[in-house]
Amino acid sequence: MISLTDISFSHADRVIFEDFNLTLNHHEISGILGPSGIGKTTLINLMAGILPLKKGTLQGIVKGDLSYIFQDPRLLPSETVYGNMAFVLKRHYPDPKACREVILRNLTLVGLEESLDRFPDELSGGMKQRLSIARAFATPSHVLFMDEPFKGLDPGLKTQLTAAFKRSYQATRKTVVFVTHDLDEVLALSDRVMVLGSRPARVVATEIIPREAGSLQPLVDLGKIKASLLSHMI
Amino acid sequence: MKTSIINPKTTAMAGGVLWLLLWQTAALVIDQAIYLPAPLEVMKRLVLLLGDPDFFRVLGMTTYRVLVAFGLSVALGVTLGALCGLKPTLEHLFRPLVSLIRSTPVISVIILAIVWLNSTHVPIFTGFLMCFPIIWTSAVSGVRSADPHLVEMAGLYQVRPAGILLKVYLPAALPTLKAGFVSALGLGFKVIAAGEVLALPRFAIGSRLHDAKVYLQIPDLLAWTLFLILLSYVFEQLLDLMLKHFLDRRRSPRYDISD
Repeated sequence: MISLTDISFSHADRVIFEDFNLTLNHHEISGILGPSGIGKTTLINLMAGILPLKKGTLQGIVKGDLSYIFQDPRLLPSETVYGNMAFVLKRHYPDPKACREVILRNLTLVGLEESLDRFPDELSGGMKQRLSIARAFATPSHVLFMDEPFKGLDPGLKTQLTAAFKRSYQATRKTVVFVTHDLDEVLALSDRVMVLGSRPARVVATEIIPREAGSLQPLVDLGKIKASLLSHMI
Repeated sequence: MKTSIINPKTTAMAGGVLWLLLWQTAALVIDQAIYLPAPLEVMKRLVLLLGDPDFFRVLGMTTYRVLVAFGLSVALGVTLGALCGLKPTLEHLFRPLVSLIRSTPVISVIILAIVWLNSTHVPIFTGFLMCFPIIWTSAVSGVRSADPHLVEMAGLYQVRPAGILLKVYLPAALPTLKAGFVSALGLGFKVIAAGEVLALPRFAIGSRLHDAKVYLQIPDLLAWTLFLILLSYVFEQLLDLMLKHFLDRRRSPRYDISD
């Protein structure tokens, strides 16, 4: 279990969190929903250790045992698709054969197995983000953070990336924490959704998303959940 | 937009011929070789100097001094510059010293070096001191030009510092470093020759320039100057080729897929 207890954080005289508490389950996809500027990115950056935690405690995350899918793919421009993967994986897989195997397996999951030799400027926006997904899942970490990874992409591309994400997720079952302001996105991916609201930010609603396949009931539930989440976001 | 149909190489050659003609005309007008010898006379001296038994040794020793001074500047300038680029506190410590070196007149450095060192080491020391600030500055700004988001990503994924240096900082710094290296090398040849003129080591283009001045052998002076220009040009081209190889990501060392 990941737990944040009595977290306080301010930036430029603005109090973003004050005695903030949050609990997340391992091996689950936790979606954190909220309007722009509420502090979603700040929250996962505090959890990932990008921002220093000055007040409060964080438990359940080991430093260095994490992956991160950023809004922009953050790829090395002078390295190929393969090189970008090898850059982060060499440390975890010192045996070149094992490293190569992990890279190829994860690139195949996101459909980039034919693009090993291509450079980032030769890839489309969607391919870059798929590479970023493959890099995150190939890293043998237990926790994965995602900061609005599909922001600004067209619906077709979003569907493609969501499918790539799901394939990779099924193969690893990492603990995923992702933030977004897109209700449909959070419903499509999450097992549990938390809504951040008010200022300083706090969790104003939590919903569990039903995932039983082939049943009509979940669809009805999903509609209710969507309405409930929407009411907390307004 | 109109595109010129004249080949740039043809224009450059025509320019060269024009300046040679102007030189020839000026030499004819002045008509005193002691002030300005004609181009042909200088060419004759150039060919004659090639037959000098010490010629290649003179050229070799000057080149050796330039390469040693340049190599030291690159080694120290890149290492210190990279560290200063990464740690602002270190940069604040070094910047006054580098600014002082940069503002010190070359002649003061040479005279001081003559007092401190032997004649062979004076040009090397001077060359090093003049090239170092250029390389240090380009290393500092090169490292600073690295994308902080990539550094952050590499840190989160626990990439080793050597990997971050090689794959994030170096590719970002290379274009700036290249400009610094090329101008430092060009300056190196000029400063080393100036140091040799005053320190007078036995085998040195600068010493030959000094002799030409003392004996008023102006064609010799110009011929040695041309050799110096040629050497500087050749090494700048070589450096440019080497750095282009590094800058060309498709030819630079990559992770081996067939591992």
